[in-house]
Amino acid sequence: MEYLAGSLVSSLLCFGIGWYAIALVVAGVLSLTSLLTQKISLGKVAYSGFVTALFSIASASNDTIAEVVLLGSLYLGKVSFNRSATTALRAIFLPALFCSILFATTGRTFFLQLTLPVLFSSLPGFKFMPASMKLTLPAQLVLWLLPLLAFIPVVYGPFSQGGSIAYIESGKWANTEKPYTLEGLDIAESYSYSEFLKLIGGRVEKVGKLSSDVSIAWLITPTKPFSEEEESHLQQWVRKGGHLIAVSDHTDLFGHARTLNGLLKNFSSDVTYTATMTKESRDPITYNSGETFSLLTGNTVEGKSIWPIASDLTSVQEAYYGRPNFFGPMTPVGNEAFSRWIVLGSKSVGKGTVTFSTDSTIFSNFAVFQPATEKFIRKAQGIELMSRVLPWLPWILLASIVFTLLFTKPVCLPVCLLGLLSLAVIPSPPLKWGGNDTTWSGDPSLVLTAANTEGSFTTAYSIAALSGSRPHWKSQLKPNDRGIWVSRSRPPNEHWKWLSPERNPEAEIIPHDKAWDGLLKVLGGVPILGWQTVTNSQVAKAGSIWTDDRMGTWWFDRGLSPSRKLRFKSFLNWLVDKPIPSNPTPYTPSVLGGSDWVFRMANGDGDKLIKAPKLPDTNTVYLLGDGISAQMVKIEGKDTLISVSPWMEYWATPSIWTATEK
Amino acid sequence: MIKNSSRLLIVWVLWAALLVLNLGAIGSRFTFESIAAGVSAICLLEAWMGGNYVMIASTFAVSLAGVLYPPIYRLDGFWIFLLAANPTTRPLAFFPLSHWFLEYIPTLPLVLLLAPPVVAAGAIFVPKNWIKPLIAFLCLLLAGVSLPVITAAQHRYSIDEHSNFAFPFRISDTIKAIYPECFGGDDVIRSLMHGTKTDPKKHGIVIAEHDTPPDQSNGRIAQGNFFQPDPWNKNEFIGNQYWKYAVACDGSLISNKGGKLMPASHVLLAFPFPNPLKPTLLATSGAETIYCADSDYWVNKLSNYQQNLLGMIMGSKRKMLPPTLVNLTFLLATAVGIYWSWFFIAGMAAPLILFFTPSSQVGDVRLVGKSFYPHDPTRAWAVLRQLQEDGIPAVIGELQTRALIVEQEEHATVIGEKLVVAEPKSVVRIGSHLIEVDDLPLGFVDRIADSRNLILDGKNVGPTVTVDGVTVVGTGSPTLLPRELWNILQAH
Repeated sequence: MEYLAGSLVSSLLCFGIGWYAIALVVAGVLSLTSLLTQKISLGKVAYSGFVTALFSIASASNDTIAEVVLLGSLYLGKVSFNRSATTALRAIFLPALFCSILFATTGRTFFLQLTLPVLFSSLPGFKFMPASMKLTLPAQLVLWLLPLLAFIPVVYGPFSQGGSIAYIESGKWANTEKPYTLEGLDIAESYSYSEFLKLIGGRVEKVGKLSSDVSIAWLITPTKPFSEEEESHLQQWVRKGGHLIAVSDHTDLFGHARTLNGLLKNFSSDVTYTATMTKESRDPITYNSGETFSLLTGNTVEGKSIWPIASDLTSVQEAYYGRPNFFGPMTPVGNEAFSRWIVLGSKSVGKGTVTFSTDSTIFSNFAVFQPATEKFIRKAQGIELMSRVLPWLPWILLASIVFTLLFTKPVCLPVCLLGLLSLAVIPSPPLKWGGNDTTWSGDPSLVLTAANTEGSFTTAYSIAALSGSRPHWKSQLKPNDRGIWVSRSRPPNEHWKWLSPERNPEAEIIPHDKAWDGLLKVLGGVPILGWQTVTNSQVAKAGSIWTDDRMGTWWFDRGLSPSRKLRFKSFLNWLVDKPIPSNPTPYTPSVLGGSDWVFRMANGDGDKLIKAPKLPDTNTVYLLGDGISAQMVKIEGKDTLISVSPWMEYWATPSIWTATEK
Repeated sequence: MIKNSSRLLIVWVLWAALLVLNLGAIGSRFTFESIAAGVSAICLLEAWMGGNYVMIASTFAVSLAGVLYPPIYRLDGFWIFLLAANPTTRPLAFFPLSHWFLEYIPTLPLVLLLAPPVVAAGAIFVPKNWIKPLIAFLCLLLAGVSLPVITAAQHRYSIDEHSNFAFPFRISDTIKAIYPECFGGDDVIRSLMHGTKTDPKKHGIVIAEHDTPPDQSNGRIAQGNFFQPDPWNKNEFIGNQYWKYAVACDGSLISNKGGKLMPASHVLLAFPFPNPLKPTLLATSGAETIYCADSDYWVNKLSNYQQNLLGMIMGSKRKMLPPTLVNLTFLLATAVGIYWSWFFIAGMAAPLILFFTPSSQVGDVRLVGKSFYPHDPTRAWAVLRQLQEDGIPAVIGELQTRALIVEQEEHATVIGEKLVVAEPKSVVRIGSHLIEVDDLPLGFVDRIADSRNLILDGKNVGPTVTVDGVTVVGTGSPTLLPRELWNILQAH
């Protein structure tokens, strides 16, 4: 039973990266109970739990030395265990202490590891004091209070963030200039931060203009290096109590990570020139509270005393500067092993705070309204008080150890308090939602950008704000709530508009080659199911109509084709109760003459001869229907029809085909 | 038989650790080497507690050799020596001993995995006075058996070549350039991928591939494929000790997707993940024929990266002799030392043999690094693969090389090379000059893609420089260098 219970504790601690607060409280309570009851069996429970946890946590970290030391301590502990738990604890205490100080001084790993000596010192029967050494009661009280020094830094910085919010623009990548509109929607608009700026209620500001009335400043993937004056000004602003949120992204794209590091060196931290690769595609990241959500490909942050708000079990790959977007093969190669990294963390600098986010994509127009993004922004803008304790922790630990060495009493109370403290947060300012925004709810997996699957509404949700009404995802609903219900199951009441991925049996089957099959349908006169036939003002059975398989990806690389724009328009109009435009009309035979055409497939399928109408000789882009756009061009003097729709609309290798008159 | 309970606990802990090692640590190299280091540390602690200085010194030296050169952990002789050196752990020497014997006896794969722990568990309860003579006898017997077996491993081959394959995918020039001593004989190396028509009864090596057609299965090759998980250099294998040793020396098994082999009486190499009791067979042997599950590491473009294993498969004495001598030294040191403990000191000499036995390869390019992934799109380790794809049949070697490639954050000294390609944060010494490669990417400069600045003796000199007749190029993407830069190899 002892080992079973030990396993339970160890499981909690192993989960510690996500559940450390609970684990700390459990460990503290366990130790306290053990102390009060003087049952050594509990000591054994704690012992087996801690030893297992130590090794597991060390394995999840990036420190080989620590793993070897802990492996040795595991052995020593085991050898001693047959005598008593106390001996075993002694055997592992010193190596654990060594590791913890190593972690503390290098700042490479997580808080839980730093607190291990405190945890150990709180265990029962831990007696180093010579029998002859006795302290008076006042001295004991002083030493009892010593660990409470941990709480001094908590009150050092400001307790609220009541000032305004600034967005620092620095470079071409991250800017807020492009509004999010259907007309002219392209990669620049979808990756603009204009909607994010509205959501946080911020204003664009220059670094040199940051003043004390600004409490939070966002700096997202800057590409223009800062001057020394600007760096100095920003550093001073943070030290006086400002909260800087520095956001990076994968592979030093456009040199942003190096630009950012030029600034972050003043805060003893840096972002890496890497891309993260999760074990399974889109593995979620984990908040301290244990909640999870998915990010897109980002990088990692390193530095002393960074308190992890969210972390990810990931492998990191360095930037490949000789390749597009600096991406490598994106499969673990060489010595790229999986380990846990901070993806959202903060550290205390003077009276202020620097928070690091390692992915910028979630703040982009197309992703900022994602169900999980709001919480991420709140987490980034809030300040977890433990970040203020962290720089002091090594010294507090040493004090605690001295305390424990001198006393026979463990420090259970501070352990519990540390656990509770880690739950305390200076809250984020509220986000700016308006009366015109629409509540969305239902099944979040159908709209998550990171879970783009057939039958989901990822793209539809990403463009919903183009309707003029921003989507505000709510998981907890009130009886009076209404809006868009996206789910396979029915909405809670009739006031909701229901967007269902259910597929109408008459809806077209998704072809392997959309452009080719679509063209055949148009030319062959196959009727295409119209969106007007499967929707009404309240219910849309939108499978294969507005789901990702028909809407395409949110990666609007080179803009939208006319047919795709029309499809978007139909969805946006449905959202806001406007009339839905009809399906695009295919070419009619009157426009076309009869002729044999040879279609050459770029995907290597060879030539295909079809009886197809002759298309007019012009360079205009034609809408053939079903998402197919085509254009007549002259190639080597011959009239040639090329399909452009996959090229324009899909984030995939284009399957361009050409057709020439036989 | 051990009666002290604390000693008995240690023996059983070690037994469990050896069991995990025998299962290839379920395919994890890190776990394998960590446990191996832990077991050798415990052996050292036991020697320490024994208080015999000769034992302490020899155990320390051998344990240290394992930490410094982890491939040696795959040799059974290493474990026989370490375990037999101390009375407490001595019964566990039957673990590697029985494993070694099983390599010579036709057995099922499962027996190879489970028989050694059963034998070792039984040995724990054997009376103490039986242990010594048994171990000494078995060590001498193994030494006697091993010598003729190793001698018989040397074969001479011819290749069943098929010129309809492009040069990089052919089994031809590169392997011949690496091991000329293994060619010119009657045994045939034939690849099913190449559609071999050679008489299947002819002895030699048969190389399977993924999606093997049913008509080529011939009872040894099964239908189906296997994939090796990434990253390759984190994987550990089970099977013949010398083959495991060779893969560890190569850094990784160069095989992403291969065919499946039928269970055979001799398993030479297998991958124990995800179920070690149902390992994926990667190489087996029948009567005078070796079956390999994948051709990747045989073809021109990749055989450079698997030199040690290929040498072991073909029985090259250059590659087989060093580990064999190490093993024999361990066996003799154990057989004698078990009676006259001062003789254990001879075990210290065993790892040194690796440094004094000539096994270096004459080649064109010297590669300094540890990433072991030849399919990388741009990095240093993939340059030889790229060169082969460009039709330059260069060979990786350590002697008489013309070009030196230095991976990121590595240090190297030029030994006669005329071209140095260095990745960021590497350091190259040319005579009295020191060249550091900066990390800042400069883009396309002087036809060098992803170029990096060189710092020669503290001064910035740009992405290329010639020092004492040696051309040095700084780049983060060595495979993208202009092809003519490598003409120096063709002149060779």
